[in-house]
Amino acid sequence: MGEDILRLMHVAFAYRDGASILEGLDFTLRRGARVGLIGPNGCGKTTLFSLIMGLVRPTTGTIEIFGRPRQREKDFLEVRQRIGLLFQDSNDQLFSPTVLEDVAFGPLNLGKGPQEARSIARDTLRMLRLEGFEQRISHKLSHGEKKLVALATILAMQPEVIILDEPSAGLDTATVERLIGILDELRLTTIVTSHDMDFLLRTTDTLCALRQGRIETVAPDAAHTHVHVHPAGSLPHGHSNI
Amino acid sequence: MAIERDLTRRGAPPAEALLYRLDPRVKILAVVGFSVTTALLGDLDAIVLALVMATALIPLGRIALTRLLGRLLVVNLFIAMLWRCLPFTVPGEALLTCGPMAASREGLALALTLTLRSNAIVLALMTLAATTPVTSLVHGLSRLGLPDKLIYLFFFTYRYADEIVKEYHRIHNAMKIRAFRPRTSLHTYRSYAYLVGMLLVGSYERGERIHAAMVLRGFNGRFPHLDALSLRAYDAFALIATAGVITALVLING
Repeated sequence: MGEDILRLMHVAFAYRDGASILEGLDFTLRRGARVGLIGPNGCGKTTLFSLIMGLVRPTTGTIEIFGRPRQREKDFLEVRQRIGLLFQDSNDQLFSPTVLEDVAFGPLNLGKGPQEARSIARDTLRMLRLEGFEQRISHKLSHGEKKLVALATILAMQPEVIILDEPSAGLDTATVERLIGILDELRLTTIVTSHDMDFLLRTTDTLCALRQGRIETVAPDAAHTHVHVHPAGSLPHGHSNI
Repeated sequence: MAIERDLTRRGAPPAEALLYRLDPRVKILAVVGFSVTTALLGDLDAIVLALVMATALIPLGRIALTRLLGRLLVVNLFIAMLWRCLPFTVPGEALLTCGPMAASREGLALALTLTLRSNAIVLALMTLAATTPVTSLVHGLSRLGLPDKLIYLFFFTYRYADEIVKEYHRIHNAMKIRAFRPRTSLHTYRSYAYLVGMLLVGSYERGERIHAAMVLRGFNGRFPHLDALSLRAYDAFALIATAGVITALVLING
């Protein structure tokens, strides 16, 4: 494992009305790590990501990213160039009229010229096998298409780290497989949250749990068998080993 | 939840405040009656009494003083502009001169009465807003015979203004995490235009979804009320007290 990318030390966060979300949270992310984060709804996963991206500030504690303490808006500008966050709801992420403009938005912000931004956007869409989507209207895409385009908007910024907030929620199996394939190919330093353990097992190497405002490492599960349901299960089928 | 959530003192259970328990109809009538009367007062004594009466509502409504003062400051910033022009434009006996301009006694008196009147009315209205949950207000207005359409307009504006602000923050965050920094450039203007555009499209589509959800739950253009309103002894007392204050104001005004 490489150097520390992210170090949260005794971080606490509470809303203005006093409701405490995170308390005394410690978390370190090393370069190359692929961490799965689990925890019930409302346990503070999304808040944690907002803290990392500098969208909200911790009540107490320190945040160190890429080896430097990050406190003010100015400190987070660099963070936002190097870490990409995929929102849980793609509707919150896409805001340009067309897919191409949305994907080019990040590169333009990074100071690329219009021509270069356009070509980066095209390349990114091609990498995600989204050719032909350039002129589609962002908010009229299907849920799965929106998710992939939203991923394209952050990958177009060539981030070193990606944070994915429940990327698999509500997607059909084919789109989930596609997403897993993309993540596997990228092999970036990653944090993923999901309620889908199979998805986490296939996209991450370590599992952490966010419980009562803190992060704990989860011991690898012992082998066991269980009953499960899957599409068209009555047809003959095999099971692969993961 | 009161309309002006920020104005109620933290920790103080607002439901215990006397004004919170009053029937919304009584509160609306009292505030409207008081405001109209105060707006028409001309005598300084009467106006001062009106302001004193309105100030007396603050402890009764358990209103947070610092936040209230903040709101009043905004109102008085507008009024400050009147102070800058009224004394010099109203003709009358010159009190002090600065250069070619002279401040008249009549102009100063007018500015003073305007200030006191506005503050009294704003205090009364803010007390109403701070002590009345929006549903009670809607309920009260509807029972007082205000057209349903006007009430819905008010209710939905109130309910969704907040949501639109949230939506704005979500999109703005999406821009920020992709390293957006506002500059004087076409890219910046275009991005803000997209933000506003998406806000409009998003609000419109959300409006349609909400309407569909309401229709699916049997909405037929009327809001059913969950609780029945009934006048109690202290409501009658409040009405009589307000009528007394209004009569006193009118009598002093002469």
